[in-house]
Amino acid sequence: MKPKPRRQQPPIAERFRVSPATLFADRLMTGLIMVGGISIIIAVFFIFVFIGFKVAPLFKGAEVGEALVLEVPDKPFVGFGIDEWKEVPYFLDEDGGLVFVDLESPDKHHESRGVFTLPYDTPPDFEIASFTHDALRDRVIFASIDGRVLVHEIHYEPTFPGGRGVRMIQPSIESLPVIELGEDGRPLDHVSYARAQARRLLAAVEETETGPVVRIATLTQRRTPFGLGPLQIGQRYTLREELRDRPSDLLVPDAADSVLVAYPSGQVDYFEIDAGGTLNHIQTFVPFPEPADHDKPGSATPIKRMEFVLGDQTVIFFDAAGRHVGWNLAYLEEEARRRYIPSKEFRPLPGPPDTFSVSRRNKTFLTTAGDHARLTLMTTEAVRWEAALGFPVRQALIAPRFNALLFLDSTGNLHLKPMKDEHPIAGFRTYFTRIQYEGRPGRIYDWQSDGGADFERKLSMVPLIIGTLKGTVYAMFIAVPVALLSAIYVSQFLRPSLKKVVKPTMEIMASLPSVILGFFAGMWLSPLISNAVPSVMMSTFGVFLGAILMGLVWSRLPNRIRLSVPSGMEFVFVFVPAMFVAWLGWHLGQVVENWMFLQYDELLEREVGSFRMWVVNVLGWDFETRNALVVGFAMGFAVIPIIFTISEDSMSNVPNAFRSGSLALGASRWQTAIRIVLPTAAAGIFSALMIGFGRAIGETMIMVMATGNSVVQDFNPFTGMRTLSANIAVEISEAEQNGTLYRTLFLCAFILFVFTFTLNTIAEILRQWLRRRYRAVE
Amino acid sequence: MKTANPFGQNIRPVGEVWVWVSGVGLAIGLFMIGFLLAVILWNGLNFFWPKRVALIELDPVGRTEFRDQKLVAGVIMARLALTPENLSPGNADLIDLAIEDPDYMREMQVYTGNRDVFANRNFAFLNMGDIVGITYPDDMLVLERTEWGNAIVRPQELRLGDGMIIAADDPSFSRQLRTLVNEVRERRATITRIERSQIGRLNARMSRERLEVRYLDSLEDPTPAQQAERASRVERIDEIESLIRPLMEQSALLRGMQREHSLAFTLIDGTERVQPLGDVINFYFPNKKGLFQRIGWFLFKIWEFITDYPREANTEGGIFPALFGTFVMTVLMSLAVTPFGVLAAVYLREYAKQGPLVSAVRISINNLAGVPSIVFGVFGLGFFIHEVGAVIDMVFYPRMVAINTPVFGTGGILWASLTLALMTVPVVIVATEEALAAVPRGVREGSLACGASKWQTIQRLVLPASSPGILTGLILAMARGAGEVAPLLLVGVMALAPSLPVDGMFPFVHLDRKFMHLGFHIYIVALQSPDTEATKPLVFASTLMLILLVIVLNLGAIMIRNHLRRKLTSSAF
Repeated sequence: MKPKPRRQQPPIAERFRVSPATLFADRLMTGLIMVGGISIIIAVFFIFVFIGFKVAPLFKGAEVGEALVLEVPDKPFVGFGIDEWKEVPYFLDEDGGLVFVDLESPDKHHESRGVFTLPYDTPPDFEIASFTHDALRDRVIFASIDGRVLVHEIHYEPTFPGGRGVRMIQPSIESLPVIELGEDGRPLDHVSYARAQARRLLAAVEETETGPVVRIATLTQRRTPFGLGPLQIGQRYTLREELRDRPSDLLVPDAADSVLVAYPSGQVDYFEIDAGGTLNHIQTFVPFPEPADHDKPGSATPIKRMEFVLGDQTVIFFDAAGRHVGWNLAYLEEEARRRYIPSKEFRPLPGPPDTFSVSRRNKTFLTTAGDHARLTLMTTEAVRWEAALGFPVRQALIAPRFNALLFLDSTGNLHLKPMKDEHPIAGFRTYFTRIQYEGRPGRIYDWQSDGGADFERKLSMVPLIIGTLKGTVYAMFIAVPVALLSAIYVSQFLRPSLKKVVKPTMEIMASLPSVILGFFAGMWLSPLISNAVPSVMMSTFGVFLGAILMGLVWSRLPNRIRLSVPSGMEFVFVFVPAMFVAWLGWHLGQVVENWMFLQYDELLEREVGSFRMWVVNVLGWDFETRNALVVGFAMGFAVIPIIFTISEDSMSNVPNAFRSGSLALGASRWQTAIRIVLPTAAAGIFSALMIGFGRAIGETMIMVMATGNSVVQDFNPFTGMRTLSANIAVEISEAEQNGTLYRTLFLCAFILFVFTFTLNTIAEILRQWLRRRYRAVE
Repeated sequence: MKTANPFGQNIRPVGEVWVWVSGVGLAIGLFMIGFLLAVILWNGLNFFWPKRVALIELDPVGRTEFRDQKLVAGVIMARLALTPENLSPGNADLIDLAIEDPDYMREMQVYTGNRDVFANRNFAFLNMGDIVGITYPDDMLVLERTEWGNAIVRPQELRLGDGMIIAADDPSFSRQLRTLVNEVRERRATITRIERSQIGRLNARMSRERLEVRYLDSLEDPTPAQQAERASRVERIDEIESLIRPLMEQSALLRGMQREHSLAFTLIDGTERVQPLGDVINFYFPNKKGLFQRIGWFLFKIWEFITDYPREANTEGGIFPALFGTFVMTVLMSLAVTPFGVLAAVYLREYAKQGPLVSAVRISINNLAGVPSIVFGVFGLGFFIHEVGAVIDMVFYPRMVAINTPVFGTGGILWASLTLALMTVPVVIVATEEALAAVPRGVREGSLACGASKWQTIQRLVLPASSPGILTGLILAMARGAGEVAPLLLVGVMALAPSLPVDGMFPFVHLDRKFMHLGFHIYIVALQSPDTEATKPLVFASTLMLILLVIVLNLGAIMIRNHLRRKLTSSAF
């Protein structure tokens, strides 16, 4: 397009000239309104973005940064550990020697100590036969060739030699007295030690003349008036006949109450010391019943490694091919005891597991095979991070604060990789899949957000979504019939003069604060309904049945009587009989309860009519006073007016020509309503249902006050539920800012937002479509 | 027989039955509203009505006892049906007894008061089969006290400070008691004034100074200037303390005077007790009152409930701070929501180019009104408190951040109002847009033809014409905001706030303060008081107030809407 030539503006006469102030005000306001309006609209949508932004970190894996390479002595170390501040690692060599390395550069206020050692407090005649390194608790357990055991614990403490701000980490070694575990004075192997509060347990394999035996001993320490007494052996156990073979590995959990014995055949024996102090064999299991290599069928695969993750409830078994599975302790109802069950199956490593390290903060573990390293969350089997490091890993470690990964290569370099993983337990699987939790026998969805680091927090969204749907379904079950029937009646049959009163009344009901409904339902309605379920049922159904009956009888009556009720006033005339039927139903319900639901009450030693006991005894369901039925009624108050108003509008808006035409052709008013008006307004009614559904989904106060807020996953009408919204209200006060729970609650809000927003959008589009259609007709 | 009906007797419209059924739907809907309102109205008003105190005599050989006595004095609250499943094992034979006398399966719930003596219990549950007589003696006295709730007693004598004793049967007893209670009340008001406003104001200043000192103490190596500041602040604290001391002494003196007179009475089990009048708020002889006296008392109690501060952790007293908090929050919310909502609506309707994008925006805004309120609460917590509040604190209160006492970085009335404003802004936008759309095109064209600019047209014609519609939207938003509780749980509401959000202390409106809210008051008292059964009547009364507030706002909106409709239809051309 060619630009128009600028025309010479004729001068404007003074009296037509717009005052500059007006022009200025106009431009200013235009700009202001444009900017303001657009920014407000953007701000409103910012809510969605913001909540999404808060939720996003939950679905990220661990971020591992570039390695800081530090030189350490080049020796074939068999284990290492580090302090919380990542400053002074220790290294354990093949002979059990321990060296510390100060990684801090000398220019950080204090002289670097370089490589240094601390002496063990070891008796001179203690000749080492074998030792075990427990990296999780920084322990080295030595066994001598004559059956003695010595436990050393490495502790770190920050010191401030140069005043405040100049920190130096000072390691120290605490040694326990020598314990004579072996009984025959022979070398010990696979020594294992655990300590839970006052309880300690030692176990090792002793090579006796008749073959290997497992020596187990509990250690006790008497509390005397002068402090703690010496550490002594309390109870001794020996496994000799119970052994299937020469043990290939021993493991004692932190609870210090049991021993796991692995054999080269791939079998594992689980022994437990019961409360009476007897050692019992509980079970034998085979972690890898099938060989890794399918060409060689037959025997089970031997176990290469077995290790606990934090909490010592789950054992991870590795085979030589890199397969690894988890077995956890679970309480089995039918056996009335705890035993190990298979629980996890992880993606196999590319090769045999070289190293294994456990986090002290959560249930993740780090494994390496060759130069491949992988960080896995045990609970969900999810891989948080994995990479090919490019160098063969000799040793690997998760830093105590879960903020770095450390790898020791075979050339004397320590690779310190900073790691950022704020929400290790979060992830898609945590929120949406069935998980086998420790202590539980099967895969379940569960929500239980509190607990310490060694407790598996259960953060599944599924039970909350089920709870939300449950509340909504019962609410809709009660609200939809009432709302739709009244909408039909008001829009099609009611007198216009009454309509002016009825509609605002219903609209006021829509604006009743939900806290009032919650209080009403929780404090007043729930005892009433829960004590008289048959009565409530009888009344509700009785009223509808009564109405049908009355309608039938009425339409059979002679016209003289029938026409005496003015059309559009039926609901007034039906009101009194309906009340009577409801009253009758209420009392009949009590009769029915005493007749059909007789239950033997053990406390009263007689039969009483109790629907509640009938539900529990005969149906085997739970029964709570604050249940879904009560919620359904209370939510009815909140949802009925919404569905009513919108569907009534859409039916009233059906062009009058449709109705007139139908009536003129001889259809009755009911036929017109059902066959003509209802189908025409169907989209609007559907959108009303959706908006009502949306309101029910997000309702908070009724749910908090009228249910017990227990996590329920069935659709039993006599139990409560915990909905997404109630969950936020109940738990947010305990959530630490930007912590996993906090963000998880944001996820609840996000799900609610997306759900209701989608529902409402569909409903709104339908409504607009309907409006356009009517316009075409008119 | 011939009938006037040309279609004859046998032809009937099809589906009349279902018309009746749909009528039942409406009847149920209306019944539900009526029922709910009736329950709340009845229970709420019942809370204020002075109820007679019954003296209930129990069967000497029956099982029911009250504190080893066969006599109970109290207000009859309810008659409850016993259900077999809730019976305790020892009472199984009640089922048999009830065959002869159904009263055995009913219980009377009696409010006995005197919580201090009756082991903190509020109610006695008496088996109605065991009740042999109910009388209403004239001399029963109800004392409302500052602690331990009401006492239901028989007065003995009034012991005055000067040793004079007025017996209960003295004709001037009631008058004397009234004079003394009034005197005590005035003194209590003085004490409250001293403690709440004078000492409270000084205390607020002092705690500010203390926080500053705490900050200065937390520094590792303070500069000389900071050390000097600390010294001057400590000095100021001492100064304030010296100001507080005489006030404290004054209030202690007054408190001592409160214990001067006392009332001796007997409880129903015969124990004698003496109650210092200082703790008595009010008294009445419930069984002596006539109907008009009762009505007067009833109105007085309603007034008292609205204007009084709560006592005993919200379980007694009034709801003034909660009402006031709701009011201030709603006003702040309206201040925030009106300009923004109107601005956005004017933009959408008058300036934006109508097209698919704008209608998409419009649909989305409409839908935001349907997003659950708790989602807005989560946003308020995450954005306003933890982001904006943290930034404000960092810029303006770095010292408070250093000692970990956030000012705006924690819940407060500002954030609560803004959160609710965000929640209700769609309501205002939609209502304003509708009102703008209802202004006839001719009005705009006429104005523009007369040479007015676009803004002049909007400012002088369109906005005034649509103002009732905007007002309707605003009132609806206020009604929704005033009743909403769920988001407030997250953004700064409190069960018992120490001070009001607006008071006489500079800067008068304290946006950072936590506040009380009527809806939250209902939630917390209903669910978390020690004896929910005992507080239920009070909660019903609060509920009634909230419902009245919301209904009045809604009715206002509806009336404005109807008025507007009439005006617009007449002015259209």
